[in-house]
Amino acid sequence: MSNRKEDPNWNPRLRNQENPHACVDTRPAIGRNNVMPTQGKSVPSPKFFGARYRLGTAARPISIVFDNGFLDKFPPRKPTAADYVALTKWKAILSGAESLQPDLQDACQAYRHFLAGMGLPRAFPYESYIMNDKSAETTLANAMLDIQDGVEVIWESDKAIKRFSLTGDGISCGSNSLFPYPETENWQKAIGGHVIWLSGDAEVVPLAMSLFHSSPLTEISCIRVERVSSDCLCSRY
Amino acid sequence: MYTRRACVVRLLMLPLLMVGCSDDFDNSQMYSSNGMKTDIDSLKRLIHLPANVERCEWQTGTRSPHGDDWWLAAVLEVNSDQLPAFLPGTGTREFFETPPGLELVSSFAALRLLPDAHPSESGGIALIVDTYGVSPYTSSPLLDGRAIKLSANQVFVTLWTN
Repeated sequence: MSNRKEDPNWNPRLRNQENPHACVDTRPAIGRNNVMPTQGKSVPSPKFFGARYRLGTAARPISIVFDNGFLDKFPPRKPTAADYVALTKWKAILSGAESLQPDLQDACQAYRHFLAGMGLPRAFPYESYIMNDKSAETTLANAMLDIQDGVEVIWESDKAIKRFSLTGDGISCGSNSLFPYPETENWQKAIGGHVIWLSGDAEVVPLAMSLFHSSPLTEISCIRVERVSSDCLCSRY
Repeated sequence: MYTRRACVVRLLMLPLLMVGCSDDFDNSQMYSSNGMKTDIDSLKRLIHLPANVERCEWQTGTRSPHGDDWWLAAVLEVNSDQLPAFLPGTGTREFFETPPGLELVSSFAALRLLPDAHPSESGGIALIVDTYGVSPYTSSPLLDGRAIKLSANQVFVTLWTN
């Protein structure tokens, strides 16, 4: 059986594939039991994607910064009549979409908050994204895999620890197929590309009938999601 | 319908861009998903360049038909002595995919020749490669991305909005 240190292609999803005594991995996805990690030979080992984790309680990565659109590149100016016409036009389009396109409900809510939210953060349920967009399922599955791998990396560096908290840096969602861009029009418009970061608690428990003497179990206490563009969306899952 | 402030900002800024900056800023280029550009000055308006670039090719594109996120990718030909400025720190070996719609032609074709490069689900290239941070390049709203060494004097850099 391969292990992380000796096998450069070590992959936890495949680690027990030839082990007749392997315990069944019954770790459920948080909030939804039918979400499974992305499978397939083309999926790389978790050490090649996702975040880096460290011991400690949840700490927002300093690498996540909000952009300022193009406002850094051009000096501010007063809106013109044409700007007000455009604003009125888009408000009318929004009202029409809210009435006629229920499939864009989340997109419309996000846009209305943008128009009327005075720049304040907006919280939304990431569960809704996960339940309604395949890309979100992939994101959640690989996020779980990523933090589980992070737990094992930390634990293997010091197997004396039996219980610990960990926190990771940001993962950009939308830039590759492991953390893909939203698939549906609704969520493309509602959140588009975004950044998640994960933290959690882990407890090491002995596993009976296993070639492993013990293994860490992970509880993802929180996946935090941040849209770093100027509409300031954020959410907790 | 656009859904985010950035879209409205663009709408509100459009008259200014057309009237006040039309001489030196071609806004239409920014959102085209095709076309190779070689103008360094235009590139400098979108991203920072940490040192002198002798030659460049760059492209932009969108992430999806409906979202407003977009990417910029460039191959920079630089003096090999200045390479550390373009590839800061030590590389991190990680999974990387080229952005959707990136044309793998001209200098971008070098990506195909990198070890382990194979077709990605989005029709581009996927590989595990040493990547570098893009802090020397970032400029709002392009604040995230990766840089890759193509050769002793060529750097591939891509940045995207989130």
